[in-house]
Amino acid sequence: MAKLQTPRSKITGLGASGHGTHHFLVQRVTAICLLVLVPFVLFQFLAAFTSGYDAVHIWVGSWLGSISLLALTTAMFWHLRLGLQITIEDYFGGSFRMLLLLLNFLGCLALWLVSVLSILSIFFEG
Amino acid sequence: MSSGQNDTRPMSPFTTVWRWHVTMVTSILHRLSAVVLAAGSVLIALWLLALAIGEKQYDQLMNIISSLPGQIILFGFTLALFFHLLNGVRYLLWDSGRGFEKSTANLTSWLVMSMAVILSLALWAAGYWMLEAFPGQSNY
Repeated sequence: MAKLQTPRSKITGLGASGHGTHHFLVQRVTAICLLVLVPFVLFQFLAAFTSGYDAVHIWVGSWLGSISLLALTTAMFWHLRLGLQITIEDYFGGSFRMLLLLLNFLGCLALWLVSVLSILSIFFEG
Repeated sequence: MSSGQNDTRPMSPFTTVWRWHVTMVTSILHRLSAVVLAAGSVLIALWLLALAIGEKQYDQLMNIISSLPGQIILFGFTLALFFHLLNGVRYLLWDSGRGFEKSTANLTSWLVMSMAVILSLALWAAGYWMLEAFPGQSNY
């Protein structure tokens, strides 16, 4: 029977939480995205920030600026939530761990929503 | 690592007993820089929010950031960002089964730490050069 299983089906849904390697894979996928997005956005930011509010506003409101910043903040806060989760699980136990995990999830979600809403409002404003 | 509330077994005192080696330093720095970047991500969200609200709020935030303590903290974020980014490449290479030899791991540890410092300084030099070359309308 084992021979009929694909390598993927052998690992899907394993582990105590039933999530298999999903956490590990998403952490890697977002890492590769950030590897490209961080230098890309840093370069654009460097070109815009010296000219003050108007230039930065135009950059963030542009198609390129909006899309790269939406992609960056999405990959970043997702990666952050997964990474902080592991850190919390390593150092804390019991109900305090649960509280921290909840705060981590809600905090990253809130910061992501604030970022996305800000970018979109600038994009549709201009 | 203690696993429960009633677990009284001593934790492994590795940082006090083990001789410090460079791969241990980069491992600890990876997690430390991650926590630093968590704080930095709050600033990114605030920066985007200020930009969306208006020019006054944006200029206020930029004035705080461009103060001397603000710049020191921002340079710390830059250092953490480049270290975490470069050291992350090591993790991806390990996932592909490469770079585990002791000499390679030691070499890439030193490489990642020095490149993080060099790239941070280069980015800030570029930033200051841009300010000189294209002053724009603002005073920061």
